[in-house]
Amino acid sequence: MAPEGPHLEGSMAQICNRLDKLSPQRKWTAMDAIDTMPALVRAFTEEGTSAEALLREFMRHVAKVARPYPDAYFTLGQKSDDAVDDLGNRAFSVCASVPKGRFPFTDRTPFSAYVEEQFDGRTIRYHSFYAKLAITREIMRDDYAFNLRRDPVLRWRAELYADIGAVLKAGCEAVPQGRGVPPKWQRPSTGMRMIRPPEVVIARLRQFEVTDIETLVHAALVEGGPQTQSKLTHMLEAVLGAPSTDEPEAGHTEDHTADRMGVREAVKDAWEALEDPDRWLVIALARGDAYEDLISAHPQLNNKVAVSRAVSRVGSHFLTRVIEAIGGEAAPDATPRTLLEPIMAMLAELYPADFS
Amino acid sequence: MGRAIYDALFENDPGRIGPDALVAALARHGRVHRAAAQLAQAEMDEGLYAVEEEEDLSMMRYAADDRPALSAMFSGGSYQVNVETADGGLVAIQVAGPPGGSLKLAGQWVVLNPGEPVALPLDAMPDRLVLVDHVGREIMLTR
Repeated sequence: MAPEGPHLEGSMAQICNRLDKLSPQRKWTAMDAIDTMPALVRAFTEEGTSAEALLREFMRHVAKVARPYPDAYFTLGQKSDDAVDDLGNRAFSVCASVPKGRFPFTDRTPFSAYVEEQFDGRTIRYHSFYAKLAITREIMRDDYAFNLRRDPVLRWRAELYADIGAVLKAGCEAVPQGRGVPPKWQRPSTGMRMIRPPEVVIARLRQFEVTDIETLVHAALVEGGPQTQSKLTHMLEAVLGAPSTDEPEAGHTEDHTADRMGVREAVKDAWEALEDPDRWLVIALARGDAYEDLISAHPQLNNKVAVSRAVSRVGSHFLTRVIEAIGGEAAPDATPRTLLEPIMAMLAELYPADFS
Repeated sequence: MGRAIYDALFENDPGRIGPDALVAALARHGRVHRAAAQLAQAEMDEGLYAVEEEEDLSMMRYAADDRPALSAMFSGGSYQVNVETADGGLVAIQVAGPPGGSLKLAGQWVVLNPGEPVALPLDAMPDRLVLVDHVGREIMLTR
């Protein structure tokens, strides 16, 4: 137990004052936790100085934020020191040079917003690292989405998510969870039921020994109560087990394709040769739109002949021609999917308003 | 209706060949692209893996301070002397015992006045202190 006495009653500043009188040769300073973040951001933004110190702060906080995330959220799907460093550098670059439209940035770079709004250090760190929608987490979200598309095993998870979404929309009810939070889903009028924890639900679903997604989704909702679509995806992934695959990575194809200018010219020429309904179909397919989305935007396609003709023309007059032009057939191991990757990337680059 | 033709493009049908297979591949590519973006956004919105609590700033500062101890209480006889780490070095305060004592440190004398902080000519927290009381008796103070 700490002893009590008159020495404990004075503040640290009073103690330092007394020490200054006792030992004038030494300068006594009270320990004061100064938050250096605002000054570092201001110095970097207004004077272009303190970049190294600010980046070092970024690295430290990014490393802490990244700690709970699995491999899938990092560049190349591996949570290595290099990947975390890369994340820290990109978070810094975004804060320094990429204007953000959303609150609280309102079309300013985050650093500019921090300085102009005179944010304190904790607020700067909140928006940069720790908030659910912080700059660092946005980058991780985008890396995760990229890995979900490219990695064969993770792509299986994305397809599972889409399959589960179709089942939920067809036969379940959405339960809103509040603004900015995805809804939970439940079976219609299930009445009172005992809700089991996720690990118990997973164990029970495994005992069913079925692989039908619809059956598993409904069983999971019966056993575990309302769930979000992503939670159901992770549960069913645990039940079914993600497949291991040796399928080559999508980027593999780029070794066989012509140079980027060649791809660009081929895609541009073929795209411009399409008629409007063909383009609408390509855009809808590339975005994964449902049929309702397509015909609500383009009622002209709401008949069998129009869709059939557009599918035929997109196949023969667009995709086949582009792939021939970029030499895709020369790649013996190229799959339709891997051939499409560079085409879709180029379309997004050429026509961002339609494909982004 | 065109729905059946359109929806069939998203199904994984290995029997498709030629241009039809390419259009179907485009449809599945788009579907995965959309699902990936939605799943990543959903996990972010749900706050999966997100810990919004920032560590306490003062604790970060102390964690960065690799000095082994910030304070220690030394006792011997009827004396108690508290030694604290401050920005300028070490500070001792006599918290118990009669007045008139002095600390003998590395050939120097540091006079103690009960309740008054006094600077110590040391760079690190000592293991023990030697106190000389008002009658010249040496007393070993230990933690």
